[in-house]
Amino acid sequence: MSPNGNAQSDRPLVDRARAGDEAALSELYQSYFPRVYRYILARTGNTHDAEDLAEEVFMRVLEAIERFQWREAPFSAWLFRIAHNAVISQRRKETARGKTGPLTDGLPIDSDGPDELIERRLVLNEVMEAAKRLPEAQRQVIALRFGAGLSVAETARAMNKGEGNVKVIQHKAIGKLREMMGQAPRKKKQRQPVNEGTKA
Amino acid sequence: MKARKLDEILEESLTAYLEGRRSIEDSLSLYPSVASELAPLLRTAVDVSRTFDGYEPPEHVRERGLQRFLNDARARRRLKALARDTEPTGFVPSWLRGIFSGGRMGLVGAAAAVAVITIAVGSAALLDNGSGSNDGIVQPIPTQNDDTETPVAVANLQSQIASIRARIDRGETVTVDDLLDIATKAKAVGAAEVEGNEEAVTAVFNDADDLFNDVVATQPDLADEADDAQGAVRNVAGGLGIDLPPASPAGTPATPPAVTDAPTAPASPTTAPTAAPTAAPTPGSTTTSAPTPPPEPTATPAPRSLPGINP
Repeated sequence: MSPNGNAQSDRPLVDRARAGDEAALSELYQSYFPRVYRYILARTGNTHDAEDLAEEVFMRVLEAIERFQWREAPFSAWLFRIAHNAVISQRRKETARGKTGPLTDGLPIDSDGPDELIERRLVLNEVMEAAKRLPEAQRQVIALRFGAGLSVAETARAMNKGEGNVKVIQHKAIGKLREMMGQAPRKKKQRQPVNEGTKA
Repeated sequence: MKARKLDEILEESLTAYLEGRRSIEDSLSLYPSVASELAPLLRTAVDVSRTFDGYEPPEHVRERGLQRFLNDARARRRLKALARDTEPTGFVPSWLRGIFSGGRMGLVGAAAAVAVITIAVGSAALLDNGSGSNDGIVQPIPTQNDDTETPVAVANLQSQIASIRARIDRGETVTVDDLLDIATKAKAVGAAEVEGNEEAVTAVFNDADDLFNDVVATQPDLADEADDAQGAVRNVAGGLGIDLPPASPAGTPATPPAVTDAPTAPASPTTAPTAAPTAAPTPGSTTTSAPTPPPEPTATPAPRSLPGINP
């Protein structure tokens, strides 16, 4: 699920970015921005928040990248901790303002027309409504695994948990989502295996 | 035992599906003993995964973010370069400092400085003339560029400080570009002829210094860059013999601290990424880095920031 498979394969690129290489910074951004966007979308269910916060996450990356250390975590785990903290920070601000964000009204890709678009929105809203009722750790695993496309190993590092623990949490989360989403039957589509290992 | 096994099988089958190696049906055939439990879980997981896969950030958002990201990276690099450029390269005599600091020497010191410089330049010219090494040509003393004339340079710096101060007062955020701009304009003041404008120059450097302290207090996420800029400005001030007061510690924190996650998280500081949040002070600077902000009261108890990162 990770675009890199091996987290260490990012190393030359990240090291160049840390040294200020603009091409490397650009490549890093292009590689991770869609995943950060989807992760935030999975956490907030709102495309506008996902757009703004994803941009904000990369500004925070610039502030912190010089202090990033390989011995402590893979880059992806480090990056998604920043994304997580950005989401939490945003949530605190919204709570303080008494604002609750609406679900998404953004445009998904591959939409064939208005019907398809509306159905996708409904599906996302349904998933988000169900995910809202999950415990925090389960929501986090769902967002990291299916939004960010991290592997179980990367998810474990991002959450500072063991891989076995992440698998257990994932199992519980999927089971609960199934129960909740099963209460609102919806149109099933024919599904094909995804051929590429990347989302980004 | 079985539940544990199902965790593993679910993960293995899910990854195989998402990597395009195996269909759901193939996985169910592979694990017939748990197929009835595995099937609905896998289908739900695939549904969720495909739901998020269907979303991509709009192209204009991606491009806008990239430009902002790269511009900010450039500004940070220039700021660091400027901080290095302004590092003091030589000793500033105490008698020259006295011109600005209002010490005991005061105007006497200023007069002495002018006299010493005059004698030194004159002596050099005479020696040069006498040596014949340059065919009697005395190299002219470089004149100041109009762009760096003190009143203009000071006015530019004052204007920039006032503009940023007004934005802070309106609750707007300051950018790395703003800090770079102040440091650059301060450098221009440092390159100008300051004699006769000591009071204005001292005042504007104090204003700049206060502004950096306020930026650190209101935007802790910019603390490192504000420290760089403040260091650069203090270096320039030091080169002019201006004694700025010791930098005040950062004020109210604006971002939450990193705290541990859910109760089950075995948070270990030794495995958390990122080093200490304080920046190394610029050599020659008397500033102090912003301390780690204390915890901010939270309105929602459940979600917590992940450990070890608070950029």
